[in-house]
Amino acid sequence: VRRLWRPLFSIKTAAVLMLLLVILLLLHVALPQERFVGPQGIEAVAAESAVKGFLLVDLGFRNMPTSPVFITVLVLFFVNLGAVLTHRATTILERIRPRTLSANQLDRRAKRDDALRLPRPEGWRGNEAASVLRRLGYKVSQPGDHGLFAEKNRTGLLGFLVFHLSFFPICAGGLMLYYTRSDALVMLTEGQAYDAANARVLRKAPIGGAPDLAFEVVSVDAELDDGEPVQLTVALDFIEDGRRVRRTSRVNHPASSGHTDLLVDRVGVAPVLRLLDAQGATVDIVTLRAPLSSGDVNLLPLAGGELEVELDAVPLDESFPGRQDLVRTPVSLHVYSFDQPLFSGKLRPGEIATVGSYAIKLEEIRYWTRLHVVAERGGWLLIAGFVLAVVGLVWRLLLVRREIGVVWYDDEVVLFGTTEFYRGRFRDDLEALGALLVEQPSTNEEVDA
Amino acid sequence: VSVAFAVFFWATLVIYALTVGAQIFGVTFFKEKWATRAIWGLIAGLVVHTVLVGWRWVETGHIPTIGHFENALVGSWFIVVLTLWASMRKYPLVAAGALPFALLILAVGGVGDASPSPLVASLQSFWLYIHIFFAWLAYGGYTVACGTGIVYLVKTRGGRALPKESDTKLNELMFRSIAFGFITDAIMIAAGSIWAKNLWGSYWSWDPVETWSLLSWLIYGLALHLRVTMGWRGRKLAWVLVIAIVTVLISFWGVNLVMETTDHLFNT
Repeated sequence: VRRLWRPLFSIKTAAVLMLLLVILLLLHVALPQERFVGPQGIEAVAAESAVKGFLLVDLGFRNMPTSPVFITVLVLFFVNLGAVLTHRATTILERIRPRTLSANQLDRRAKRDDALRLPRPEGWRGNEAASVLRRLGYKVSQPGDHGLFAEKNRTGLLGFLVFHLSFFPICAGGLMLYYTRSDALVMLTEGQAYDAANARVLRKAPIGGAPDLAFEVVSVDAELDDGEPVQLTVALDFIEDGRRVRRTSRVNHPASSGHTDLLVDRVGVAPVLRLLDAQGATVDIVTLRAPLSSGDVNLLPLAGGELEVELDAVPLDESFPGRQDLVRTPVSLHVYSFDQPLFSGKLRPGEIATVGSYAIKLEEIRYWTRLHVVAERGGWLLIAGFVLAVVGLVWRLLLVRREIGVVWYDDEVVLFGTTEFYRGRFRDDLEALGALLVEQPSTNEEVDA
Repeated sequence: VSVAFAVFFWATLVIYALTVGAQIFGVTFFKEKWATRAIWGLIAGLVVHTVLVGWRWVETGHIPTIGHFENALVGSWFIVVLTLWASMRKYPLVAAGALPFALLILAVGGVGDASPSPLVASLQSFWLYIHIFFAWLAYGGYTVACGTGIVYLVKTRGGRALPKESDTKLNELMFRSIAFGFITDAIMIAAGSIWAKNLWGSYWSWDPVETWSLLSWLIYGLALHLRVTMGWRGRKLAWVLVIAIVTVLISFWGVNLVMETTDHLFNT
C-alpha cells in the first residue's frame, strides 16, 4: 500500500500530470474539433492523415474535453490532488499552530552570524519593541526576560490547502453544469409568446428536462452607433405563479427565470403580412422575419402552399430602421407560385400588392429577436471555487509567513528571523525593522505611517 | 488616426527602441551604467505612451479595449509599467529582457487597423474590464518574469557566476513575477468565465482562446510548483520562463491564429 500511496502524492506525479494536461490542451487547440468543423470535417481530416485519424478517431480527440484519454488524465490529476491534500493537511495544520522559541533557543539563534546586531540605546526597553511589532501585525510572545519572538501571517500555509481544495468545487460545478445544461434557440416576434415546441434544441440536459418557461416578447430594440449594434434590448413578460413579471434581456445582461437565462442573440425586422382573396376576405395573416444577411433564405408558404413569400435581407447596419421609422420603412418582398415569380417589389406599411388572384397587404412592421434559452445548475459552485482559488493564492503567495526574534543584552540588541518566500529583501526589511525597534524606539507614529 | 496621434505613437516606439538598444548593450557587454541610465528613456517613453492611451480613451469615449491596436497600446503600457517598477525597485537591468516584448507588441499593433470603433454590445460589460485588466497585469507579470529570466541567462552565460546579491535579486524577481502573474491570471480566467456566461450563456465552452489561456495558466502553475516545491532556481527556472512566455504571446495574438474557430471575435 505504501508503494502505491507514495507516488500518488508525489510532486513529480503532479508535475507529470500537469505536463500531460498541457500536451492534451495543446492538441485540443492544434487538432480540428468536431464542435467547429462537424463530423464530415473530422472524417475529411482523418482520411488525409493516418496520424490525425488515429488521434481524432481512435483516441477520441475529435472532442478533446470528453475523450477517454483527457478524462483519465483529469481523474488522475484529481486523485493526485486529493492524495497530496490528505498527505499534507496534518503537517500544515501542525505548522500553522502558534509557536514560540524558548529563552535558550532565542539566545542560540541570536549568536548566529546572520543576526543583526545593533547597539542598545540607553533606556531602551523590550516592551516598546513588542508594542511596535504588534502594530506591524506581528503576534508577539516573550519567553524569558531578555527576548521576544514575533510571527506574522502564521496561517499562510492554509492558503495552500484552500487553493488546491478549490479545484474540487470547480470540478463539481463543472460536472453539475454539464449534466444539467439544456440549450435552445428560439425566434420570437414582438407580441409572440414562447412555445418550447418551436425552439431549436442545441443541447438536451442529460439529467432533468427542458426548462418550464412561460413568457412573451413585449418589445425589441436595437441601438446603433455608426452602423454598429451597440446594444440589443428585449423586454419580456414572464408568467410566474400566475403573475406577469417584466424583465429585460440585453447583450451581456441576460434575463433570468429560475435556473434559466434568456440571452438576446440577434434582432431584425418582422413585417406582418395579410393575404386577401379576390373578395377582400383574409386568407392568411403571417409574420415573416427578414433575414439579416442575403445568404439566409426564408421562404414562407401562404394560402396552403399555393404561394410562397420571401423577404430581402435587412442587415443590422446604418440602414436598420428605428422604431419611429417602422411606419414608413419599405420592405422588399418576392412572391412565388409554384416557383413562378408573381411579384417582386417594395411595400410600405398599409400598402397592398396584387399577386395573381390574391392581394398582399403589409399591415405593420415589428421586430423579431432570437433568444438563447439556457438552463443549467451549478454555476454558484463554480464561482465559489474561483473565489476560493484566488483567496488561496493570495493567502499563500502574498501573505507570507515571517518570524522575528529580538534578544537584548546590556550593550546590544540582536534581531534575527526568517521568511518563507522572497528572502532577497528580507535582510533590508530586518534592517529597517531594526531601525524602528532600536534606533527610534519612541517614534511609533512613524510605524503607523 | 490623426497625424499628431501618429507622431506620438512613433515617438513612443523610437524612445522604447533606443532604450531597449542601450539596455541590451549594457547587459551584453557588462556596461551596467548604460543600462541603468537607460531607465530614463523608459520613463520618457512611458510618459508619451501614457498620453497616447489617454488620448485614445478620450477620442473613443471608452477604455481602449477594442481590436489589436488598442490591446497592443494598453497591453504594452502595462508591461512597461511593471518593467519600470521592477527596474527601479528590484534590478535595473530587467528592462533589457522585458521591454523588447512591449516594443514588439506595440509595433505589431501599430501595423494593423488603428481606426477607432464604437463599443459594440458584446463588449459592454463590467466583467470584461475586470477580465482585461487582470489579463494585462498577468501578461505584464509573466513578461517581467521572462525578461528577468533572459537577463539571468545572459549574465550567467558561459558559466559566469553572478554576485550573490544580484543572483538573489534576480531569482526573487522571477519568483515574485510568476506569483503575481499566476494570481492575476487566475482572476482573469474567472472574470472571463463569468463574462462568457453573461454573453454566451456558458461559463466555459472549450473555445481555442479559452483552452489556450488555461494551458498558459497551467504552465505557469507548473513553473510555480517547480520553484516552490522542487526548488528550481537560477538558469533552470529562467529557461522555464523563457519557454513559457511563448504561450502568453500566442494568447495575446491567439485570436489571429485561430480566428476561424473561435467565439472570441467581437466585431458584432
